[in-house]
Amino acid sequence: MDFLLEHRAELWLRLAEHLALTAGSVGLAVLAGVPLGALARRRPWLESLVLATAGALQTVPSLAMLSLLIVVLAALPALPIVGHIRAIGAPPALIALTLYALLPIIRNTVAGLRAVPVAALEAADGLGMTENQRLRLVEMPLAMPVIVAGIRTAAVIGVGITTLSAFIGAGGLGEFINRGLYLSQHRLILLGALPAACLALILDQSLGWAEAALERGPQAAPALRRARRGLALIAVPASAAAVALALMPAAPGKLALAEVPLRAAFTGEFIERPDCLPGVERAYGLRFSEVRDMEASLMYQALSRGAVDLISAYSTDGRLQAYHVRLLEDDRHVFPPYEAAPVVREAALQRVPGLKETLERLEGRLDEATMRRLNYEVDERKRSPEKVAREFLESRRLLGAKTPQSGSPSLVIGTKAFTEGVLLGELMAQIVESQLGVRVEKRFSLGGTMIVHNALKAGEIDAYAEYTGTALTAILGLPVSADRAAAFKTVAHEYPLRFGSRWLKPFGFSNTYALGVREADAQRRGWRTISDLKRR
Amino acid sequence: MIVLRGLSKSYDGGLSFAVRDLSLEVADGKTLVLLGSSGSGKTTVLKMINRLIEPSSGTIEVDGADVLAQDPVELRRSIGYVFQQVGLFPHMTIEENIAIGLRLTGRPAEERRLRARELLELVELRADTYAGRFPAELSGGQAQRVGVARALAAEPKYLLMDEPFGALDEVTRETLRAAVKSLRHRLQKTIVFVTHDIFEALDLGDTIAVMHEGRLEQLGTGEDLLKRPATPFVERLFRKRVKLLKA
Repeated sequence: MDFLLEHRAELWLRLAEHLALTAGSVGLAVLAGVPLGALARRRPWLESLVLATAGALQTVPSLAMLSLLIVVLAALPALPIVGHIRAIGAPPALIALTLYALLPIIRNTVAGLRAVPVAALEAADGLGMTENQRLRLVEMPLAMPVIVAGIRTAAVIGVGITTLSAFIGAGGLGEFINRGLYLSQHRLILLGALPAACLALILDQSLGWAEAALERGPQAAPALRRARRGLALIAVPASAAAVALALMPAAPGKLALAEVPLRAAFTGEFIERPDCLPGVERAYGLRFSEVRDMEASLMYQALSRGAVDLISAYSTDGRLQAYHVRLLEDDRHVFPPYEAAPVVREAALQRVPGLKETLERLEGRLDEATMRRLNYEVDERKRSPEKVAREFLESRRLLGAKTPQSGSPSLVIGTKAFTEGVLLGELMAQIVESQLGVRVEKRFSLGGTMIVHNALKAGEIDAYAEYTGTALTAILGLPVSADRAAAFKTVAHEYPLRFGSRWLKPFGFSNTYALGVREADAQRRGWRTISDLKRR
Repeated sequence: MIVLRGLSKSYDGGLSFAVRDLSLEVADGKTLVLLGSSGSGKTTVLKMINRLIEPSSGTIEVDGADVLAQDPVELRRSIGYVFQQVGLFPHMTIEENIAIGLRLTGRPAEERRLRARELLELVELRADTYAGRFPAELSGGQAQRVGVARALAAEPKYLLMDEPFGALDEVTRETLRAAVKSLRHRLQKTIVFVTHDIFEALDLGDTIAVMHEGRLEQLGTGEDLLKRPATPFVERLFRKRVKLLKA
């Protein structure tokens, strides 16, 4: 219940956004699709063209469509009257949703018009109706129930697809679902999914009644009565729930926060985690005037195209360099430390002499800027992690001269499935092979944290690179510590006792959350730390 | 007066004809019946008169004016048409169906309502009972009465009737035929009536045009056709039926 109260205001907002997006897109699709269908009905070539195009649009995966639209809209020159269409947020979502809604509407318009009885058409012509009169007075009214059925299909599908527009910061109930997915918080997922499901059912049912009511004829009167009764069935409990939620006591008073006139785009995880956005607001006493929930890869484009001013990021992300993003220093230490270090099984340390010393030659060699550069080489310049790791080791004179022999002891190194993990795995593998002559078996990109951790526990791998913050929260289930040294001390203490493995000395960087701004803005406005954002 | 001269219709550029070289006249206030079996071209002739079908050659004059020079929409509004399949609009009430022609020309709602009720009474349906009903609630005979009322709504001088009673049972046909005859005398309409039923033709037609395979076999009164058949086809057609009648 507290959970619901806490999210009450946002729930209404998201619900309203969701309804607006769905209704808006279906409305636009009706405005475009019904005339198109009516035109196509009399022109076979146009009919196949229109239906094929709408069908093809339908097959474009939703996220791909949204991403494409962002690029297209951003590249578009300013248009007369409307000016520049914003490349993120509601406009691309509305366009994408409209495109998806077109097919059922056009198809049903054509089918509905085609089902008009020939006798009625013949009579319309014989009585002297013009083409327009026949369409308006005879064909459209008779096709209307079928057309409304198409609108109904479009609306129900639309409610579902609208949940995806949260990825590009257009709002809607998808916001909750996204955040819930990032955080594995089922309550949040349900907070988005349940109202969306209800919305779909309500829309379907009310349009169903509209469909029945529009069917004029002897059966129309009872249909209309049914529709009125049905609406009451929905409206009464819905308004009761609304009143109840509105009358509940407000959540405990919030701090008075200084509003910063910046447009921010954050990942769902960043918005929801208490040590991320809420932590920043509390510790720095500031609040951003506009916060959007956005998928990470779209966020960088949005920032560099000037659609937003501030994004959340990981401090070693290679894209920071590619998109000229300046990270602001967390001068009040809000973000938890995610210090990376090799984690190795005790058994492997005993089996391979010199393993600990060799791996610890990497200690402190990778600061955040270095790690960012290595990630950039792989992610943006598409070079192989193996080559990038080798060059780095060579440049630091860490590469030995040995080659593994057939009889020499062997070691299995694993990684999680993302660039930085694989790079760290390569560094560990290459330094061990070249300095100790140990054969290394690479089991890279195994999966997420728990998969790799369990592989280590089971002895399927001997070592991998882990982050202190992840180990504390995801593996040990302990509160995250804001203090870097304390966090490392805790995991180093727990691992030998619980998992028979040991944390070696850290690589030197912490891949934590961060706030990023455009480099040009940072220079112009003298932003260095997060506190600087509050200066006018 | 309706005058057809050398009227032909071919759908394949002159290889075969649905109607071939047809000439006839319909005097004002008279009823001409186009009699023929299906495929004889009689419905094609009817549809050419109000340009639902365009002739391949020949001329059609209505009141001395060339039909082909007129706006087809205006032309159709000025001629009443009763369809074989009735063609009432299922989403409109009976009243709205009857007044649809007046609605097309933008006449006020009140006038349309009164005219529709007047016409309902004229075709012997109680306005209070039927005005608000929908076509699906009527019997076949009632629906065609409404069809006739709709054709009369704009007070046309001419009425084209395309096998209007073809889909009805014998008893209903007879009562409707009687209704049409009484209307014709009261309203002085000029009617072109298409049928394949000889008795209907003899009963309604001032003159009868017998059509066969697109051509006019004979034009004349019922008596002419019975007593002085011009072609073997007409003779065979009427002899068979008259025997039936006598027996």
